[in-house]
Amino acid sequence: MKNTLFILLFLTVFSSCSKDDIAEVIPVILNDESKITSFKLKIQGTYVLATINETDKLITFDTEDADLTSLIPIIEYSDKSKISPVATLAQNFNNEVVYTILAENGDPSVYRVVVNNVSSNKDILGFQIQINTKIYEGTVDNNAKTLYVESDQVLDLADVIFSLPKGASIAPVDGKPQSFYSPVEYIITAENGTTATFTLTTKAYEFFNYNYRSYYSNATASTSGTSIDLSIPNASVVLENDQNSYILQNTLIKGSSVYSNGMPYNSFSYAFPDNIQTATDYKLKYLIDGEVKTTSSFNIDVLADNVPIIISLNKNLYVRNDILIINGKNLTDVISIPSNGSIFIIKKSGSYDLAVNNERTVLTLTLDYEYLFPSYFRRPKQEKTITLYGANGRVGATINTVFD
Amino acid sequence: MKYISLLIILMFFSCSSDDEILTVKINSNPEPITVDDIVLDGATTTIDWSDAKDEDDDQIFYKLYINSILIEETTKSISTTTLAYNTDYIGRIIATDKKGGTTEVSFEFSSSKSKILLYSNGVGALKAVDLHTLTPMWTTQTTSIESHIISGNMIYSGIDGINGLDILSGEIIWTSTPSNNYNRDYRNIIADDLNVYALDAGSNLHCVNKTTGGKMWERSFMDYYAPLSIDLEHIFICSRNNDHLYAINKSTGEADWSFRLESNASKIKTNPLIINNDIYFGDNRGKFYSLNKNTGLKNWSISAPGQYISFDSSPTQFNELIITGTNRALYAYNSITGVSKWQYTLNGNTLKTSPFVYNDKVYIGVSKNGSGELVCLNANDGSVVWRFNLENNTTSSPIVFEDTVYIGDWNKNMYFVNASTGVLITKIKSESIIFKSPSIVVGEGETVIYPSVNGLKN
Repeated sequence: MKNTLFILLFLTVFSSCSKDDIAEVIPVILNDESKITSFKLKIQGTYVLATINETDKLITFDTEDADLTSLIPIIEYSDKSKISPVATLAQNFNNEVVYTILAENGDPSVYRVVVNNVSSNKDILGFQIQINTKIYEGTVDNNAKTLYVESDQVLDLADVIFSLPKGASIAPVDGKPQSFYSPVEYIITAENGTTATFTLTTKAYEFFNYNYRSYYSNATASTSGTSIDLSIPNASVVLENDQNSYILQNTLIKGSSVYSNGMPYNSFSYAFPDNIQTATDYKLKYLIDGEVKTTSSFNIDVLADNVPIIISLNKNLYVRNDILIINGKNLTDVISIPSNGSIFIIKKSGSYDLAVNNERTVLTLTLDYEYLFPSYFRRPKQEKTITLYGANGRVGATINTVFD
Repeated sequence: MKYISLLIILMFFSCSSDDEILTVKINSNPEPITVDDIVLDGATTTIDWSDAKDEDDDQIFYKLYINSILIEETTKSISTTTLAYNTDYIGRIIATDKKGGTTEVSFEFSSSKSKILLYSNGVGALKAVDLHTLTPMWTTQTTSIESHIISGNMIYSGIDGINGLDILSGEIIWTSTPSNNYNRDYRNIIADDLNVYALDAGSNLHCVNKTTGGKMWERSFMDYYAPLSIDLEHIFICSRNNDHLYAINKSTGEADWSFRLESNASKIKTNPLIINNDIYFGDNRGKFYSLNKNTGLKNWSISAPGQYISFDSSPTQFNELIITGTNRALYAYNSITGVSKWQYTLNGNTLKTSPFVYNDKVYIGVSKNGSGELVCLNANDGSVVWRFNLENNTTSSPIVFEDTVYIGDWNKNMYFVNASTGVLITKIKSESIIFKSPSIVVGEGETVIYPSVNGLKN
C-alpha cells in the first residue's frame, strides 16, 4: 500500500512538471456547508439549547426573566466554515443577534438569533395622577401592593398614569371609569401572564371657592373644602399673604360629611386674629404636621378699618311687627336674618323699611315679614344670628337673638 | 511521514532540473462590489449592484439580505422585492465564487413613502387607498359625522373613544376615553404636536395629551356641533346652535374671547380660516367676517347679495384673496379690505363644497339637482378653465395632489381627475354614497392634504 502511494505521488509530481511553464490547479473539493447545527446559551446557570429553523435561518429561545445583556454562546457549525462575529464574543441577546457562516467554499448563510424573554415582573415602577395640567407623583409599595397619592385639588378630572415593566399591562379591576375618592383596585398583568392586584388610595385637599371671601376683621368667617379636617392631630389653617401670616386659633368645626361620589366634605368657622392687617390677597393654607396640603385658589379680603360694630339690641325676644334696633358703630345698610333654611338679605326696599342714622350708630327695621318668625311655620322660638354686610357683600359683625 | 518528505524533495529536484516551477494556483477573492442604484416604485424596490469582478473568471453567486433575512440568491447583480412603506432598512449582499472567495457590501436605505387617499362613505366606513398602486389598503368603521385629523403615523378617529389608527394598517394603536358619559363617538377632532382636541357626543370639548392619553381639560358646549380651527394658542369653535365664535385657550380650556355674529339669529356652519393674525368665516345669513384672531376685534364684514343665502363653503386663501362660497355663488374677497374681486355664480345650482386652490386654479364641486360637476376656475379672475360632469350631486369638497383632483359624489363614486385638463383618470366605486371629503397623507404625516373643510367633514 505504501509503495503504491509513493508511486502515485511520484508520477503526479513528474507529470505536473512536464507541462511548459503553465501553472496547474490542483482540483480541490471544498466544503459547501454553512450551517449552524447547535446553539446554546447559558441562562441562569444552565445551558439551554435553541430551536433552529433551518428554512428561515432563525434561531430562537423562549426564556423568562433572563439576563441577556452579555452572554457567550456555544455554537456548533459546519466543518471548515467560518463564523462572524466570532462565537467566543459576548453578545447582548436582548436584541436580535446575527451570525454569518461562510462555508469553506465561501457560500454564506446568515442566522438570526431571537430570544423571546418574557418578564414576570409585576412591580409598578411608578405612577402619577394628572388633574388638569398638574402632575402629582404617587408612592408605590410593591410589597404591600399599595399605591398612594395626594393632590391639592379635587379628583373629578383625575387621570392616572402608570410606569410599568416591559410587556406588562394594567387595568382597573371593575373596568369602569374610576372615582378616586374611594380606593381603586388595579390588576397588573406581567408579560408572562401572571397578575397582581394593587390598591390605589388617593387623598385630595382643596378649599371650596363658593363661600364668602370678603370680610370685616370682626366677622365670623366660614369656609369648607374636601379633607380640610381640623379634628385630626397637628392640623392647622393659616391665613397669609406676602406680608403677614396668621395661624387661625378660634376655629369651630361646623360639619363633616361625604358626597355621593365619596368626596369628604368639611366645614368650619373662624375668627380673624385681633391684629390682622387690611389686605385683599390673603390665602388659606391647610397644614398637617407643618406640611402644606393645599392652598386656596381664591383670595380672602379682610378690612380692618372702620369696622362695623354691634353694641346692643333693643330686645331679647322679637315677635312679628316688633321694631329691631341695633346700636353700634359704622353700621351698614344691609343685614341678614336666617329663617326656614334661607338667609334673608335685608336692605331698604319696597319690602323693608331698614334705616341707618347719619352717624351710623342706630339701625332700625320693622319686623313685619312673617317668614322671619318660626311661629309662622308653627315652630318654637329660635335663636338667630343677625349679620351686617358692607359694600359688595362684605361680611361683618354678628349678634344672636331670639325670634318667636 | 517519510513519504511526504521524500515527495517534497522529489518535487524540488524534479522541477529545478529545467528551471520550470510547479505552482498551485490560489483562488482569488471576488473584487469589492458597490450598490449602484436603489429604485423605489411604490412598495416595489429594485436594488442594483456592480458585478463582482473575479480574476479567475469564476461564476459569482450573490445572496441579498434585507434586515438579515435572505431575499434572493442570484447570479445576477440586480434584485427586486416588495417592502413595507415608510421603513428604514439595512441591506447586505454577500458574493462568493464558491471556491472559498467572498466579498460583501452593506448599505442602508429607506423604502418608499406611502401615499394614501382616505375617504369615508355614508355608512361611516373609512377607506384607505394606496395611491402608488390604486389598490385598497384597509377599511375601518368611523362615525359618519366625524372629522378626523392626521398626525404622525396616526389618524385620530372617534368610535368608542378617540382612537389613533395606524395609517398603514387602520388598526387602533392609541386610544383615549376622556368623556365620562359620551365616549361612543367623537365628532370633530383636531390635534397639535402635544394634544388632541375632540368634541364628544355630548358636545364637550376634551383636550387629551398625545403621549399619555390623559385628559388635560374639558369644556362643555351645550348642544354645540362645532367645526374647529386651531393655531398655536387657541382652538376656535363656531357653533351651529349658537351665534358666537369662541377662542378657547389651549392651555386652560377657557374662552379668551368670543365674538357674537351681527346678523339676527345667525349661525356659523363652516370652520374658520386662519391667516397670519386674522380669522375668516361666514354665517348662515350671508355675512362674511374678518377678525383679529388674537383679540376677537372685527377687521371687516361684508354681506353677500340676495336673500336666503348662507355661507356653506369654508374659506380658503389664494395670495391676497379669500375664496369662499355661499350656496349661490363663489366669491373672492380681498383679505385686507373685504372688497370682492370676482365672483362665480351658480345659476340656480348649489354649492355645498368648499373651494381648493392649486396652481393658480380653484376647484369646486357643484350640485345640479341630481347631477353634479367639478369646476376648475382661474383663481385670478374666476373664469372657467374646465368642467367635469359628475353622476350625481356632490357635497364632497375636492382636494388636489400631484396634479390630480379627488372628489366624491352621491352616486358612490370617488373620481380622480387630471387637474390641468379635467380628464377623468379613474374612479373608485364605494358601497355607499360619498358625502364627505377625501384627505391624502404622504409618509408618516410628512405631508397631509386636507380639504378646505378641514375640521368639518373630511
